[in-house]
Amino acid sequence: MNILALEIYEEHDHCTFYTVRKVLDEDEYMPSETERFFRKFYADENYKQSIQEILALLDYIGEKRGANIHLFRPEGKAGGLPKNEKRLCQDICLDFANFPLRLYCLRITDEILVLFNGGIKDAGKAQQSKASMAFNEAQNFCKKIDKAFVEKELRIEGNKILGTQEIIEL
Amino acid sequence: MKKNSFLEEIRKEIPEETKVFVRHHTDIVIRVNELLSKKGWTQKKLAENMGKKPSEINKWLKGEHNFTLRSLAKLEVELGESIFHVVNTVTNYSVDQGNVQMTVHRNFSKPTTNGFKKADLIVDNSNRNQSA
Repeated sequence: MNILALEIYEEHDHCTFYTVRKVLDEDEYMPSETERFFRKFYADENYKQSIQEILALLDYIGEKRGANIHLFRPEGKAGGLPKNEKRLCQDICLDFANFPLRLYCLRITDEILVLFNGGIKDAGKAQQSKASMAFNEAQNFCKKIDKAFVEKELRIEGNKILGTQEIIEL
Repeated sequence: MKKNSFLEEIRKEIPEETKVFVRHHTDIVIRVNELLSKKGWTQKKLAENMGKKPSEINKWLKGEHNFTLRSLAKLEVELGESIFHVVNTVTNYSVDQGNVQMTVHRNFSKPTTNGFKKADLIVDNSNRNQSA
């Protein structure tokens, strides 16, 4: 069985960034999904600048603006559902022309943002692009986290997610 | 507060201009969307008012399009409120690097019976040794 851990990635004054990590084995440490994203694309000279821009935006969110709803785009089929009924998978909205990367995330509140993995958006639809695997996984993570909130395994307190257990089983 | 060590390494290499660009861009996106909410307008309504396609306005507000000063000016007029503020201060110049010399061409094109004649050149040193 795959186990998914929801854990704090970074803390800032105006927003706490969470991430998810697959727990494969007690002896094998798997980097978080967000860590894998940053390490993979920062090592590629073609995307180094884009990663810097994404991080600059995350820093501005964390230090100044919070996870303002206008900075995120809904992604996937769930995008058509009323906002209050489902937490929707999103991506960080960078209004830079032809921005090549997408970092998928789940905005819980202005103070809480869950970051996932991402990829290269080289097609009109994420499902048809190189980011499709990260996109599909992000959709799955969102459903699991949403279910955990509905079933009260998780709850929000200020800028933190608290839960009866820190590990969410996939 | 918890920080990620790898992100900290990246942060050291982010150019200042990237940070400034991202800040301004983020502020504008939030400001425009908040003004729309304040007026109770949808993007479609804004597009109609501006005589543009909703898809074009969506690109302005949600991505795939860099703002230009002209597009921001149009948005500002339509939304009726300032979108961004540029610091507008008066810069004082000090004249402390020697004499200031000004050459004035007086009646340069004064016609004469022989046609046009170049007038005397007047050297004006009235600003000599001025300092702010």
